[in-house]
Amino acid sequence: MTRTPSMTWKAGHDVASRPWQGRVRDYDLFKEVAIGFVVVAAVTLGLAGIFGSPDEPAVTFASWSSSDPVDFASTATAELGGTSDTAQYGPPYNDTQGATQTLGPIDLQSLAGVRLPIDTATAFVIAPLRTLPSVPPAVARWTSASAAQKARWTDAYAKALAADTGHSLPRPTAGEGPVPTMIASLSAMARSGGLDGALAGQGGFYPLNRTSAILFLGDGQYFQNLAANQHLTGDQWGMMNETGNTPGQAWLWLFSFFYQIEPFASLPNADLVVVLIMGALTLLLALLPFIPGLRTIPRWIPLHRVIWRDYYRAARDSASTGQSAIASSAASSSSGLSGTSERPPSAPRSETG
Amino acid sequence: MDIVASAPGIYLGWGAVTIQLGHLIVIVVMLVLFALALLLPFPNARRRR
Amino acid sequence: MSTQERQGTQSPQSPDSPQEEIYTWTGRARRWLLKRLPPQKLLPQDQPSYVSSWIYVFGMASLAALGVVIISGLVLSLNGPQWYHTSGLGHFTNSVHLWSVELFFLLMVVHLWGKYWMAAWRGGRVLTWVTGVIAFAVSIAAAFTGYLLQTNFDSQWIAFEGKDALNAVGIGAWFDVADLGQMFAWHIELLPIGVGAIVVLHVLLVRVHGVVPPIDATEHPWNESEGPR
Repeated sequence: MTRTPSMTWKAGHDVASRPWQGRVRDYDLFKEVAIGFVVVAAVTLGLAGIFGSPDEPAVTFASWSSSDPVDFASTATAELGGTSDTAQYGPPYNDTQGATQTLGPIDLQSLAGVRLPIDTATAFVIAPLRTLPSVPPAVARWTSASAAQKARWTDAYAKALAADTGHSLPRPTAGEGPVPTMIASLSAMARSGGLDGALAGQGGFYPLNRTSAILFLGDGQYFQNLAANQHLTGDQWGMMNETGNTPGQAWLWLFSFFYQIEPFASLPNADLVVVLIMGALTLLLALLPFIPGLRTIPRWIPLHRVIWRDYYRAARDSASTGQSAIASSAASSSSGLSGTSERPPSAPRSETG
Repeated sequence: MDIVASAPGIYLGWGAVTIQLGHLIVIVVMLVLFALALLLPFPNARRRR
Repeated sequence: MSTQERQGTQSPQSPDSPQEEIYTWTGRARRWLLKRLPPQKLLPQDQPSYVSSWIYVFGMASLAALGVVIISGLVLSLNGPQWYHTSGLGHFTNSVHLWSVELFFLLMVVHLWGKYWMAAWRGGRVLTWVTGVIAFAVSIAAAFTGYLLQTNFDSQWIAFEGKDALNAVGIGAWFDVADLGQMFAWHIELLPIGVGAIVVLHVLLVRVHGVVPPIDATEHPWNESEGPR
């Protein structure tokens, strides 16, 4: 009988493919489950008791605008002027041309279309200001201006803010139009906590959707700096790290790894490329039994001889004492026996009482 | 109870690679458990027959 | 469907007793299931003699950790997402949930290492391997959504970063990491059901095929079972 490669996944006529007819040992499934559960639960409770878990309070617009007023104002100006990362993101938030991550002809980001439409000027600045008890007149002056005029105003104020090295907002000039007043109002609103409420409340009475707030926060440098301090940014293996001093999502190590190395680190479509690579690798792992070579490594590097050493030793001992003619012919000092010495199959054990 | 978890993370670094201490411990524990599982003798089961 | 009473036997000794006809979908399904997984295989009192290594405990240990994850998760969700920020017991439960997840992945990966070096897909066990990898992947997704529900700085940052990967592949519009309502649905219902179903299938497959024999194993005459009692 020709010997099939023993690393195949296929069910054939070999020992691995039929119910085990050989020696058995007692085994209590439920007892093992019970003991396992108690041990694991005890270890978990111990770890939880000793190390605890981190709970870094959420960032609010109140804390942002108080801690770094210039950064808040710069971000708000960029949102108003449509120059922020969110405003230029593309789908699903808006339809900025050329913003999507593509790989040759593959453009998955555009597939969804603009399903979560966000007009940053309206959503992040105008609408919150309109919830104030007395809406600043500057808002009306802004909304009645032309697009070109708006761009000139926000551009001028953005430059003034970029040059501002202090802790307070720059003095307004004429070339900036109503923008400084609007931003100052928004900053005051943020400091008082009103902006957190206004952004949350855009979803109505029951605000569970925090998309606007997260995007606005992320456009600022303050939020990014907080993350960098805790080793959470993409180029710091941030994907797997956790705030504080506990392990995080360590299993994301390979995903995180690609963002640390060139060429991936500086690719504009890094996210698309890395996700596709990780998808392919996961598929490879799932289909490993079908891949010759990869599935044969366990034979070439025989850790299994350690795992099953009791079995192999017993088989060798039995063979060397000449229990059966077939077994003794195959026995040698080298480990393992090839699979031709088999007893006639008995009735499958599963059907006996 | 939380003194450990809420403290600033301890990061170890060699060149481009920085690893959080907790993660290093997790990796070491996994390797040690794997090695022990392979090497520690397994008790012979009581045989009823 | 016949309304005639049948002299059927209730005996569980064989998939269907000689006198019982199989004439329904249900009957055929029962016969198929009981043939693949009779009670003695599902809940055995013994196992092959080669199952004698500590590496074999890691599958069961992963299941145990998953149990702790689910129980602690239930306590957290039943008390609402803000409870653990202010309650001492809540904070401890959150710690238990975090560490049981870390243990779950730790034990599951050691289990994966063991199964790889044992080439455990042999003898027609490829579906066991595949369901194992799927369970791993779905667990990673479940853990990711869990981190998004912390309602603290970490979840803010993970949402902000995570959106890029999802948007890049076009699913961010339907899987909005900043939408707490959506993420709760995924984390406390859909993904646990997914993980649970795949894990159950995985464990049943192990019972159906039995634990994989050693590479190059044979059943020697000396190795013959002395017979079940």
